[in-house]
Amino acid sequence: MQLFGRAYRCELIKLLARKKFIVFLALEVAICGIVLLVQLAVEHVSGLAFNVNLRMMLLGFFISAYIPLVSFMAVCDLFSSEIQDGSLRASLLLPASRFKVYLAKALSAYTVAVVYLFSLFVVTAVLELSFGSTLHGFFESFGSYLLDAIPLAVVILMAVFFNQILRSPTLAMLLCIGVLLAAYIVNIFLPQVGAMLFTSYGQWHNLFIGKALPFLPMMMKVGLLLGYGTVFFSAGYYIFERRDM
Amino acid sequence: MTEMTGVPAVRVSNMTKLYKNGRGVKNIDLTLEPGDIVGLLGPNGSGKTTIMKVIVGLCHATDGTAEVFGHSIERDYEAAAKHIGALIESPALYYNLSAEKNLRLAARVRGAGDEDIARVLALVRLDRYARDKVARFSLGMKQRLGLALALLGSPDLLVLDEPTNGLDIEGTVEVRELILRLAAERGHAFLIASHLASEIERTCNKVAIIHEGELLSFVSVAEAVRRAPTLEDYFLAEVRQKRGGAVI
Repeated sequence: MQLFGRAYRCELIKLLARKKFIVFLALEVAICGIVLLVQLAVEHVSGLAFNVNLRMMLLGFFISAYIPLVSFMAVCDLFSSEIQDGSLRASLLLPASRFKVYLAKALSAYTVAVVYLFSLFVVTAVLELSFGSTLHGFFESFGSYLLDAIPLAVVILMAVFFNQILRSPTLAMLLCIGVLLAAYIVNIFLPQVGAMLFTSYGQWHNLFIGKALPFLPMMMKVGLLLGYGTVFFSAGYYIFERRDM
Repeated sequence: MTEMTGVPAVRVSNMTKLYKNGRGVKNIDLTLEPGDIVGLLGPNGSGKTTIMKVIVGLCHATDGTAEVFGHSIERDYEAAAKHIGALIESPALYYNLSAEKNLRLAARVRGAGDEDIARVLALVRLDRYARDKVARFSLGMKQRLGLALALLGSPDLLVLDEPTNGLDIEGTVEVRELILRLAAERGHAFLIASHLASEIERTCNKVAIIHEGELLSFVSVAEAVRRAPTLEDYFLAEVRQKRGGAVI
């Protein structure tokens, strides 16, 4: 366990050393600020008070597009980029088993995603407070963020799996984006098929908070998500373990 | 780290590794004792690197076994890998990080401290460049940093693939002296691949001749130069014998 912890910290350090993750975090903060300013401007011009919950309004966009994109970058940096430039050997030559290295890489990419998600929560909450909002529904929105962090793990495991198939980080990134986009399109045009895809639960809080689903259908969706996660994780690990470097 | 007494540093038994294209190595048997400096001598593409990759766990053997200080590299990787320091092919480095940070990442997992990082940086004469990004390093500096990574934590077994590749004359002599000193003083075992017979002759006490994926002979360097004027002649004689040609 101690060895895994060290390997995990190493992977996180490698990600944090890449400036783009700080830049994208700053961009996330900027988007939140711009959206709030636009909202205030519209309210000022129209004379109407929309009383919008910024935390929940922005969650949809960030959880479906922005954070998956940043996560794909993190996964590609830790897997296909390292395979391509040979630096993966540096991790594999250390006395940590391949399972620990694989898990450490996947978990650090997930950590980045979670940091982005909760930074969004903090930034939007602070912005709302700064502009005189009462932060209504604070705990409900915090619960929504917590719930939405779960399906994000499956999206990352999907990216990890694709990164085992393709050696080129550019191709792996394109494949991840393409599959996510295709799944969203299927969700719109073929909702019955889309319901079988893990991407239809990106905003997972919708199942639990507000108009919650009955127990059995909800458990089916939980099971489906678990199934996708298990398949992506296992298939990805199998390829990673058998790979000759 | 100290070696376990009575246990070979490396024991490779009937090891075969075949790639999809049919190339690789077949039925390799090799034993290294602590303090041994064994040279793998063979032309490019003969299978030297493949043998090393299987021993350090970067490749999976198709058949046979590889053990490091009694630990199977397949079944007990972590216990085996604790004894190994390796430089395989080009050094595996993170180019966006400094030399020191590259070493710190490895030290974190190996459980090595700051003093050890400073020690290996001084050993390979990179202490002045510790905070420079690896992307700005010359080929020789990258090679020296790769050596420093292999030496981190004082592993009992060092697996070095063309360790003097890209080094100047002074650097080559320093690396050779370092290898000889570590083997003599600390009993470290070395497995060194090279296609230069002169390099193996000067550094190693045993030589394994590899040709087209087969181990042609495994003898002491003293025995090889007793049978032929030079190690180079010995190598050529072994290869010709394999081909069914003239024998010295």
